[in-house]
Amino acid sequence: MAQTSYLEQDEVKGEIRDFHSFTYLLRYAASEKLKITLALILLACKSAFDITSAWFVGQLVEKGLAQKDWDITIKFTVIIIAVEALAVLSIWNGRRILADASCSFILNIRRTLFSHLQALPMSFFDKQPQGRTVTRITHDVEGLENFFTSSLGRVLSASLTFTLALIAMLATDFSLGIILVLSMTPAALFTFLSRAKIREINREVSANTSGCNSKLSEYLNGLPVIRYFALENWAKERYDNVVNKYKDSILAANHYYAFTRPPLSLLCLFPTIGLLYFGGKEVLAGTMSIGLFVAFIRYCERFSFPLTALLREIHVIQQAFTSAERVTTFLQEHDETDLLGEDGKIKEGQLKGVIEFKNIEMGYSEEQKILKNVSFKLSPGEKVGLVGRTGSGKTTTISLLARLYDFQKGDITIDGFSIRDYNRSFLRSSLGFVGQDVVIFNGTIRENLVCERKISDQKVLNACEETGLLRILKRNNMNLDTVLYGRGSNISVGERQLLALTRVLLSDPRILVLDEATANIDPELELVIHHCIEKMMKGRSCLIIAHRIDTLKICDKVLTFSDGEIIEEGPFEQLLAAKGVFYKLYSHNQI
Amino acid sequence: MLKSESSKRQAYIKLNSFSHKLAIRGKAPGQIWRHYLADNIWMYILGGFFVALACATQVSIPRIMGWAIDFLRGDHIPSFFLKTTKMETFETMFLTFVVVVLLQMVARIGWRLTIARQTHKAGVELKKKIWEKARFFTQKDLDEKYTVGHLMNNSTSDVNTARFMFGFTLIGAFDVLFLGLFTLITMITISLEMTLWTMAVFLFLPFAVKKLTKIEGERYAEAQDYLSKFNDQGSQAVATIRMQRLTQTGSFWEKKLVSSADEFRKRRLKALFTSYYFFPFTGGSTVISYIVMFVIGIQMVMNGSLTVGEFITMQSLIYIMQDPLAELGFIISELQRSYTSLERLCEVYNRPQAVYLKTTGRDVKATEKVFQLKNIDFTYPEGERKIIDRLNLEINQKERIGIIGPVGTGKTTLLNILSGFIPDYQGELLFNGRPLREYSHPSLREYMAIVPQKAFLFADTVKKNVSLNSDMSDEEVYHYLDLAGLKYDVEQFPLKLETPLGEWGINLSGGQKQRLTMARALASKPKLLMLDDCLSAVDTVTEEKILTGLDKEMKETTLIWVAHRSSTLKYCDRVIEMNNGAN
Repeated sequence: MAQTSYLEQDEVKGEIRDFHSFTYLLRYAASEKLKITLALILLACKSAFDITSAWFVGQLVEKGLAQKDWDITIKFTVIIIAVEALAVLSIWNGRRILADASCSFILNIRRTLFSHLQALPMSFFDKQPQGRTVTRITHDVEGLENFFTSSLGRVLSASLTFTLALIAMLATDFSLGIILVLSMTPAALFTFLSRAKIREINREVSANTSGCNSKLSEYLNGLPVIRYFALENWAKERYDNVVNKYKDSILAANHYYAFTRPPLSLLCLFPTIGLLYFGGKEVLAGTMSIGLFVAFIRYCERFSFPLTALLREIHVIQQAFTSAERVTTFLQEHDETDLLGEDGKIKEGQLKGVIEFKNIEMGYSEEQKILKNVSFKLSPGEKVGLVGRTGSGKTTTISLLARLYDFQKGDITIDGFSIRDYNRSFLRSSLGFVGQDVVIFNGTIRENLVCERKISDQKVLNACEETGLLRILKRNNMNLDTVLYGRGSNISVGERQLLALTRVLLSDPRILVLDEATANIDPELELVIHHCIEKMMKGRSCLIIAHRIDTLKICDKVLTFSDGEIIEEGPFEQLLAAKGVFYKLYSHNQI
Repeated sequence: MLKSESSKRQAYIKLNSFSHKLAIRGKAPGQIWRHYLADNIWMYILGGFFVALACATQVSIPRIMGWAIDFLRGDHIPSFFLKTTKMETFETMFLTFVVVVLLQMVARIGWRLTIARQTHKAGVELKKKIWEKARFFTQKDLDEKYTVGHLMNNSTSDVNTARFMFGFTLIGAFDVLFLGLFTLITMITISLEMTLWTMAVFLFLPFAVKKLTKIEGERYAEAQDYLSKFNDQGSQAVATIRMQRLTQTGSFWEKKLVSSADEFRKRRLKALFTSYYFFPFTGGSTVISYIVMFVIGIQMVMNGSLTVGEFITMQSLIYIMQDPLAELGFIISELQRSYTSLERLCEVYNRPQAVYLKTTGRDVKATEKVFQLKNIDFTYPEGERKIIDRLNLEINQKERIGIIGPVGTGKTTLLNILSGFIPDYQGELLFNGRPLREYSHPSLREYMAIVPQKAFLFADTVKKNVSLNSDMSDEEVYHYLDLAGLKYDVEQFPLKLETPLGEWGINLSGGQKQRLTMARALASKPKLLMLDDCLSAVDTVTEEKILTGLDKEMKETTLIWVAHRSSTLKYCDRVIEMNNGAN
């Protein structure tokens, strides 16, 4: 339920409203112009055929059957059947072509969304819950997809038939036509007025549905805890309450629809009722022919049926607008270039690895400074350890180096050039980063190691050998072609870490950044990984953050962070001897 | 306090025996269905009546239109419409038409409020029953067969489909029955010959529709399956965005996602194309029926055995007749799917549950010896080696036992055995002087608390996560938070104790989660507290604070503490090292 409150929030937000966001998205349909035009023509044909068939039935009755004229009867019969067959063919093909175009259109939107995801600055992701971003790229696109691939065809077809029937009626008998059109106003008005209520009801139902789902998944995931405290009945009562809320909302919806849908259908029959009354009187008075009357009956059907369908589909259309708005807003979020400025020019060459932080000040807002006046320097091949309690600024320091965020004061240079002058992708790929989590995609081990780069198997195997991954793979009966599941569920945390190290080694960076790279490792692989890291650190400039301070003994110097400042700096033993903050952190670590 | 706890326990036992009674009902899906229908029989009878009425009106509308045409042409019409003047006759016809249209509305309201409503009500019952049963499933079932994903699927897609046979499908069935019957009767009264011809043409329709629906359903399910995998990939992409950027693997992810999106597009298109086969099928059958109708009907009009009005009515009726026949196909396949889903739900409902959670047993009476273990052996069912081998151990009241040892030596397993969650060990295990298995689940839980390795929090406020099912004042909650070293953190939150947790609330760090879990266990005032390496993500300074606090506060409590860092165990009276499993 909390989820919907976010969704609601989103609707208020956003500068572009309803229709504009729809037209904004249509640019992604440009490649499908031809198909869409063809589909529209076919759908229009189908509607035209429907109307023609209705007219011919009237003619058949009046000129053929009533006069008992064989020739005309046969002629019209053949025409009616041919027209009906053509109508079937056009709608079938029209809908197929439309679906094909719509699917490609949605694919274009997805493609844009995914590339936008990569272009958005890190601060965007920090600011909002993951769930919301996930909703944008999944649920909201699906909303659009459902509309474009299934509702759109129906909506277009219905509107075309409706319009043509309207024209046919007005052309045949203008005044009767006007009466019939006017008789549809109550239905249209009714739909218009109930719009908001339906939206509310649907939202309530879907909020409660997801409420049930999240409660159940919460309790299933927390079942051990429920058992530890014998909360089985407590949890049952609470779950039942949530389901009862869902029940209330869905029964309220049932109630509402029960009392509105049938009356709406009745209102949609108004043209037929009107036709029978007024048309019938005209026929009785001799001012209207019976053929015209019959044709009108068919027109009427073709006028009110599609309109009824459209009126029922109105909330789907509404939802599509909402989805469109959210997707558009997401696509118009500022990207990295807006935030960090134009990308730098330096994009090739081998770095030496001289890093300097000069009086860096950084904060997400004026009041909240994350880093205050941080300065330090690293010569090529030097190793520096970063320590401090959670939130003291270690991770931010590393993030700045990778240009994930911008800083307000001071400068960071690599090999003498400001990191603002570097191309961001080049800069990031020049840093070898190993963190606590490893990104594993569903694919072969080779793919996971090589990513997009072109590297020969021999080189990959050599790197595996060097990191020790090869031995582990052999032990597990795996090779480069073994497929890893998403999230890496078929290899252990330590194995994943070795994989990440191998991945870094393959790009041979001059700068190595280790952020808690050895935390949470199974003891079995701990040694292998330590060994591997030590090997990789040789000849590379290194920045290391470690939970276990022991591991920083190999560093040339250690920086102690506190509240965004470096308060102690020096070699490991020297800091220890100074008995300051570092000593305190270290000794608690050791007991 | 004590009194309320024991009454809580009684309520627990009562509720369980109640749910046990429910379990006897509903063995097979058919039985569940029949019972449900029998319980609500009047709703269904009333609903059936309304569907019949709706069908009758639906058939009457074109019939009256047809008579109107005949009347206007001067042909013969039924005598009950005939009045003295033409105008009066016409007005009678018109009024009849209006009455029928109004009746149709009433009938439609009627079936929506009766049978359609039952669909939702049944769905709710089915949903509730899943959790009612699953909460007592054995750990093995939950790990292997009935995983969270599996049960979630039961609760969403299966319940959604299964509920149809309690309502919507029945409406469809009644509709087919009555509409088909009325249309057929009306058609026969107009012309038997034409009726027989058209029916002959239409007979293939239900079979074709059934087949097509089945294929369509399969293709949609395939596309949907792929979509959920694809969405999972999408959420992973968002979750790992920081790492992607740091390791420059973003564009690779992007390519993967795009290629999955393209694959999904293909599958969805295939499903859509399959469903579009309904156009030539139903459209084609209309065309064929028109041919039949025109060929025979026109002859009959020409030789005077059929009026023009009747001809037009026939055309409308044939159009209507298609619906129930096509619907018959839909209904059969819907029924099949619904039944299969109900069968899957029945598997959940009838699954044997963990006996130890439900049997009534003795209450715990504290004695000097909390645990006496004699030659305890334990092997996981699928495991080969004994994880616990001939363990002998005695733990006294108020004693503090530390357990250390490498990964995989059975430390967590031992805690699970001691707490009664693994009942199938070998050897003798006495708890307060009686075999552990003799105690009831609620009484054991009241006596002891466990803080697991992996912290789990409910999507509720901080306060609720500490107090759980008991009432607690803010001061009390703060007291336990303070003991767990989390008071300061909580005071910094804008909403303090009322701060919501979970994905849509505030996100706690790993250490904060562990400390909150600790506070929760302490708040249950256990006489025996088992801690399973539950401070691993807490920094050493904070840990030290917690340890001194516990040492002071928990003088009366028996403590069993598993830890990785030996520093954690410095306040323990005895430390046991587990290692036999490691070899």
